[in-house]
Amino acid sequence: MNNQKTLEILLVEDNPSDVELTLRALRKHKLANKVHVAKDGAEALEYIFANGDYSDRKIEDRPKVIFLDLKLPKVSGLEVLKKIRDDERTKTIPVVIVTSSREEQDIIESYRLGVNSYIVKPVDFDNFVRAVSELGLYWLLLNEPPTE
Amino acid sequence: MSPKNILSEDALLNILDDLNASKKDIEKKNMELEATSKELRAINKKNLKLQEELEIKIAERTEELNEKVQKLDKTQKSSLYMIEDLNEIQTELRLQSEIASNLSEGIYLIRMSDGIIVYTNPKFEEMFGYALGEMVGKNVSIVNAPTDKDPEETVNEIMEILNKTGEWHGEVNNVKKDGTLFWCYANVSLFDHPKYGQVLISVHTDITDRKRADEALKAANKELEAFSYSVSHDLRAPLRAIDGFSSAVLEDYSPRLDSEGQRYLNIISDNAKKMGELIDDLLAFSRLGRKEMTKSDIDMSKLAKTVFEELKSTTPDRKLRLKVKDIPPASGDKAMINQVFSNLLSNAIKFTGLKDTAIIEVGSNGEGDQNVYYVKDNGAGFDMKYVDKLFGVFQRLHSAEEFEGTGVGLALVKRIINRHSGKVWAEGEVNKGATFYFTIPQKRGGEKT
Repeated sequence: MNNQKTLEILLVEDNPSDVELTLRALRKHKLANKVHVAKDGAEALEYIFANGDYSDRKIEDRPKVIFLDLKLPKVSGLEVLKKIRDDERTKTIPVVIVTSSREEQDIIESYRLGVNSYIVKPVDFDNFVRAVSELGLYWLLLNEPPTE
Repeated sequence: MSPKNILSEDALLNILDDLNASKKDIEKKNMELEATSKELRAINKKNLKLQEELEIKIAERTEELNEKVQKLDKTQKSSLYMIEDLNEIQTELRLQSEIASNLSEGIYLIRMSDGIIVYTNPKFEEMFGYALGEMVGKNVSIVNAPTDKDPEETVNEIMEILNKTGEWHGEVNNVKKDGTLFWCYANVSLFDHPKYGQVLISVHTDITDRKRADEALKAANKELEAFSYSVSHDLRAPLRAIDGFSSAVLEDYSPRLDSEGQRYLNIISDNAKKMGELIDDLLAFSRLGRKEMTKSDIDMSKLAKTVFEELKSTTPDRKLRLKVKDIPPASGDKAMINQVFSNLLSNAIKFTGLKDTAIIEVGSNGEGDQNVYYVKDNGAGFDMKYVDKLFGVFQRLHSAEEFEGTGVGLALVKRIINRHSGKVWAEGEVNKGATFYFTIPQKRGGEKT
């Protein structure tokens, strides 16, 4: 498909401060203009599968990458990941988990469900900015997304 | 005239004949008497002889009998001694039997040739829920709970140690008659029995309670760990926001801020960072108390050098010189001792920050069964007046302006060394450097605790 994708990053994050700081970091590298933010797991699923509040979307309009937090209200990050991987239409979308959890169980389960990358949010803000920038640059510029 | 009173010649001749006949009779009888007399005399003689012989025989027999009596006496005496000994042995055996019967631990004996239980004491039977004598004659497999390990493998492992050291001690999972599983601590040894051959004797202590307590402790620790982890992460998110937005204000609004405003914002940011560090240190400190130690041999000089190289790579702009002397290996938890070197060496690097070249030395003095290691630097040192405060949590002898830090590093070192049953102390002089000493047990050969 040659359509210009309108969405590059789907950011699924419930903490508004973290959302703002993430956008700010991405903005520095001019990567922020195509970010959509979902503030909980249910909203993320509606967006990806183009139903509920997002029925006017098209499923084929897939994000280049999903930055997914694990601790989300309504539907957890791992459940969202599972649903994405279970559907033929969405299973190849690159998903990067960006979370504060360093729990071994979470890491194991995430990779088992097929996550592409697992990032623990740096506590230090400078490092956080650096991590977000690197993630944005890598997944949007360096990495080849799946074609269809 | 008839001569009636005159005897005729014939009559006299008859009488003479009769007399002669009688005389001959008498002589004959005399001779017979004599013969008989002779016989009697001979018999007498014989009798006397027999009597003599008899008396000799009697004397001999009497002597024999005396000897026999003496022997019997001796035998009787030694029998009496034996009876005394047997009594003692019996008392001893009774005592041992009482001990075995009344022991509050279970004991059983297994005949090694076929794995049959040949003895159980009452407590053992009680522990396993069997009637008196019910277990003897059965195979030892009735007491062993099934595990995921191959039972033969388990037996082989135990036998290896038994044959090497004569003893085996460890936890075993047992099964009672009614199928209940429970844990015991078994103390096992071998010996040769005259009747049963090689015999294994095992003393079992029911550690169900201990295991339960252990599990409860583990669960509590896990809960605490999860709690600490979640608390620390929940605390970090707002910190990130404080730090982040302060930086954002500084970046976006610096033209509109005077230097004081910028200074305030920097203070906010620094404190947020510091709080993050405090959380990390507290987490590490608390986690240390709950962590299990795994002892092994540690190449101390190699460890010190490795840690130093890592630290050096994070401070590329500093001139650092490390001298690691030939220090002996030690026995301890490698990850924890790594932490000790990390804290001491990073302190050394930190507090030599004002010197042109930092000279850091790692060495040791062997003393008894503990090795004394030290980390010495030529940095800011400290006043010995305050040496007692050095190892307290959050205790610092320098202000944050002089040297950054949260004051948990040395407290962590002290905690780790204490867990190794060692000691930690320090010597220093203001501006002349400091030396930190610690002791840990010598290398013993890889025992696991």
